[in-house]
Amino acid sequence: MNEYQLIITIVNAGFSGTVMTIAKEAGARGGTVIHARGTGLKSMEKKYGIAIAPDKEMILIVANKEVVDDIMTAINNEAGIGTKIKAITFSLPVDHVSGLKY
Amino acid sequence: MAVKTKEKKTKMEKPFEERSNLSKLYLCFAIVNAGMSSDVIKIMQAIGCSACFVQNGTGTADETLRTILNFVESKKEVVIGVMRESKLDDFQNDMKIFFALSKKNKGISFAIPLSAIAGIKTYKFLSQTI
Repeated sequence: MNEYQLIITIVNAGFSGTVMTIAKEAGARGGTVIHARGTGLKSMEKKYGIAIAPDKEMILIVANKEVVDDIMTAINNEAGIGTKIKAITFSLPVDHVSGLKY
Repeated sequence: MAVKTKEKKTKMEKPFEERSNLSKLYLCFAIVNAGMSSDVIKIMQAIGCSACFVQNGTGTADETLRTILNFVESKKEVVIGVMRESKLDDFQNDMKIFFALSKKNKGISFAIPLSAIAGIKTYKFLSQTI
């Protein structure tokens, strides 16, 4: 199994700071935020006749596999779909990592 | 009278993935400070990366640390490229050297395996086997 994993969290714009605070408390060292746009509101566009651009933020966190579960559980509990932040979180195995100092 | 019908030679070609020696492809990421992406692209292209993309991003340094150092935000660039498995060791080594060269060259790099590619030409382009 890979030593590191990439955690990707997609949240509504403006909530990346909250998610990063939760992730850091659970063991993350840092992350990178990329601006993105959602595509799930086509029905709303038809209904109301206006274009809705749901701004999103994608947070990339590379973490050791030992803390990945803690980070993901913390994000899901405190900022998951059941909360107003509605964060979607998943992880991918990564290889050949360089630049991390643990 | 029996009519002879020409038998057509129907030679079934094997699928591309069976008749060629495929190598696994990886999606390589390098997250570096803003302005450094051109250097990383040069490194990746020299190794054998067929397509490189750059995406702007923001770092998530401590807000207290940021206010002390008077930084408004820490801008980052995310470089994404596709590479063959055999080139990954070179990529990792070159990135280690790049990060060690200067304190400005702070960053992180990693690779994610691709599970499938749609289209033979796409594969040939990405793996640089055209």
